[in-house]
Amino acid sequence: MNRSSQAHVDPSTSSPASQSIELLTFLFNEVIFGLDILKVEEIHGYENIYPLVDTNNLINQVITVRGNKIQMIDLAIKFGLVKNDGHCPKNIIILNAHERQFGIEIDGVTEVITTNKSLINMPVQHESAMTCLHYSSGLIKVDENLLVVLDLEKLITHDDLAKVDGLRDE
Amino acid sequence: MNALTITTRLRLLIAVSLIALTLVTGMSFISLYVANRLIKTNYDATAYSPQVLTNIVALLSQSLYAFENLASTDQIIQQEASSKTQQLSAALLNNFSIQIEKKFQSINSLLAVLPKTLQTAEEKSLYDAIGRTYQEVFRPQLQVASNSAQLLTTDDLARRFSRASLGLETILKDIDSLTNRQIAKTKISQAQYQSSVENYENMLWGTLASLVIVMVLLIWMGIEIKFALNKILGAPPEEVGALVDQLFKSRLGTEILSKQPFLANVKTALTVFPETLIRLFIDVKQVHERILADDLQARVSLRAHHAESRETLGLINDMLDHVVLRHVEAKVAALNSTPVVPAQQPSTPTAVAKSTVQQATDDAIDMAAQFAETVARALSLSEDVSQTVQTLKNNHDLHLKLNKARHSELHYAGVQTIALLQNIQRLPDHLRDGEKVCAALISTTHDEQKQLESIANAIDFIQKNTQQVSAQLAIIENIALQGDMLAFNIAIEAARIGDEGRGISAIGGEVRHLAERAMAQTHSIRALILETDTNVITANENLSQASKTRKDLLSHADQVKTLTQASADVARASVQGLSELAVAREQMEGHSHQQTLLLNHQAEVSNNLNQQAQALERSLGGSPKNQSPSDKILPFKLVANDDLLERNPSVAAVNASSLYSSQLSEKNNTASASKPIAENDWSLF
Repeated sequence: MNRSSQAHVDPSTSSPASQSIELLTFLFNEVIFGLDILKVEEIHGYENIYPLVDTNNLINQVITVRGNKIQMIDLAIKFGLVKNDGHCPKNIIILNAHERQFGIEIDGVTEVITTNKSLINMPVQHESAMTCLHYSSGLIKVDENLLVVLDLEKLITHDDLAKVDGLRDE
Repeated sequence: MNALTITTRLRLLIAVSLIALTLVTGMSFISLYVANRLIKTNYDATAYSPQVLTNIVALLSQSLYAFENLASTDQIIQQEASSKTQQLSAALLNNFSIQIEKKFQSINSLLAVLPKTLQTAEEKSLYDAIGRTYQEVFRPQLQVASNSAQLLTTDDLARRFSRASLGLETILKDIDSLTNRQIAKTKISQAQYQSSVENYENMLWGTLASLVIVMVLLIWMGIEIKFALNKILGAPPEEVGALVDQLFKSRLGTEILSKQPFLANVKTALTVFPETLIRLFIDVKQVHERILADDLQARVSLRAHHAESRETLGLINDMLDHVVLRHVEAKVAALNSTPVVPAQQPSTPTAVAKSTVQQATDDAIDMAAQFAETVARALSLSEDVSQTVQTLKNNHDLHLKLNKARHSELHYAGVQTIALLQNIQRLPDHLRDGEKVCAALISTTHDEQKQLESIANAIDFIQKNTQQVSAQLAIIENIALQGDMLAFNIAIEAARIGDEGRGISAIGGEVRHLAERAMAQTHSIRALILETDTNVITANENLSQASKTRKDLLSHADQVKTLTQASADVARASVQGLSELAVAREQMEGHSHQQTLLLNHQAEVSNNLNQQAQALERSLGGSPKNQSPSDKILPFKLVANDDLLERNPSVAAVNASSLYSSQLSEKNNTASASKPIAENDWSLF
């Protein structure tokens, strides 16, 4: 399951063909997503969560981790999914994006895999494709499973940050 | 006597009718007088009331006139206000008011008189209204006027007076209507009076006519009665008697005869009840009485036969004595005559003796014939006796048989009763056993119930424990999850460190492995707990079902217990009743036994009688009819011959009769012995 990564190389400098990457895979809405483990701050249980009122839909909850309040990005809203009432998230992944921490609620962490960046393929984009693919760097096949590798820069844009900051300023 | 009573009766009747007629007439006269008086007073009253009313009307019109005057005066005063002083007007008013007051007082007095003659409530209320109007409206106005005449202006006065006059006018109107009504009523009452007077006259004439008719009738009746009395008094006494008889036959006789069946019915009704009772007793009594009567009759007839037999025997003895004497005489004569004269000479003493002997022999033959006859009679009597005795015996046998049958039935009933009694006596024991079993069952069930309760408690405990275990498992699960999470976090940290964090990554992997194992274990434990839980629930259901069944059982057992107790009570009661029955049955058996004994005794007595009768028959000789009288005499002759030579000739007779006498005395003894027994029997019954 856990395969040890060969070397920790800065992704911006090293060539994409030989770069290995460690992905934390998780389940959300019956889809397996992968996330670069270096972007992950920590995994947290579904607790100490407080709903926010009068905010934009993207950020509607806050989690306190060791006294710090971390805003939570609702993936369902981001992916344009309809939330069903029976859905109960299991874990929170604390992410590191744009030098800031965000939380996303997920249905459960599955594993940590080490793979090559060259194996991540971006499928042909078209209108009818899954919305989540807009926020991904590609798909990768691991043990008969196809997982979506999320790109945090796409997931949390500067516009989003501006909105959040505006909210914060207000 | 009877004729006199009739005349007195007639007289009384006439007197009473006359008195009644006089009374009726007097009463009618009195009532007519009273009615007349009443009608007259009524008429007077009705005649008086219009007068009163006209008076009132006149007075009122006068007062109205006075008022009008007053009004006109008032106008004058108004016109000449400057010239006249107010004091004058006041004086005038006062004067008027005093006058009016006087008038109204008279009206009032009239009104006070008037209601007495008034009848209807409507009229009364009208009069009252008038009075009230006068009292409440007119007088205060007047008083106010008179009191404040000086202060009031003439206008005021005029207004007041006009109002008063208005009131007065309404009063007048009322009085007018009243008067009209009264007048109409008076007319009606007058007409009524007229008609009543006519009726009265008619009635008077009718009464007189009826009186005349009654008088005529009375006179006629008196004449009739006189004629009848003359007829009765003039008729001969036989005729009178016949008439009286006829009268009684026609009236009283029929009455008595008509009442006879009724009386008979009453009598029968009265006699039926005691008769039934008596019949009941008689039926019972007859059964025993028949035996006694048969016995007694037999005994009486026996005694009579014996008396006859004794008589006959006495006769026989006498005859025998006679025969023997004759024989001796004949012998003596023969002895005397034999030496002197030969036997062939009839004229000689021998012949005389011969003839005497012949005569004696003839006599003896006659006597023997008589004797034979008597013996035959005695024999027939004896047969009768034996027959009676046989009947008696048969009766006794029959009764004995019946008694035996009854006895056997009683015995059977007794045996049955005893068996039943024993069964029933055993029943309480059985019931007690049943009760014990029930009690044991109840106690066992109670124990079982307790055990079940303890089991239920245990199951509850298990359930609680499983719940606790489940909760703890949830904690373990949580811990496992957290371990998993920790493993991931370790992996993340290791990745951040880079190559140096590879060891940590391995540790993280191990930790995760452990967490997964723990999770798997908890899952299996949870499955086990779930299974246990379902089992426990099923067990609990079964337990509650069992408990319910036990409770039902307990209630049933309680019911059985109460039923058993009730049946034990019933059994006790029936045992008592049966024992009483057994006692009664034993008494009855004793009675029947006594009866059997008595019957046996009677049978013995009858047997004895029979034997005696047979003995009598034997002693009278087996067949006296077959023997000739001369043959019958011979043994006596021989005996007499031998005896006479040695002893008293009556000895033989004494010997012959001694047997009978001894037998008779014996019989008498038995009879006297059996009689008390019969009496005892009856008293026992």
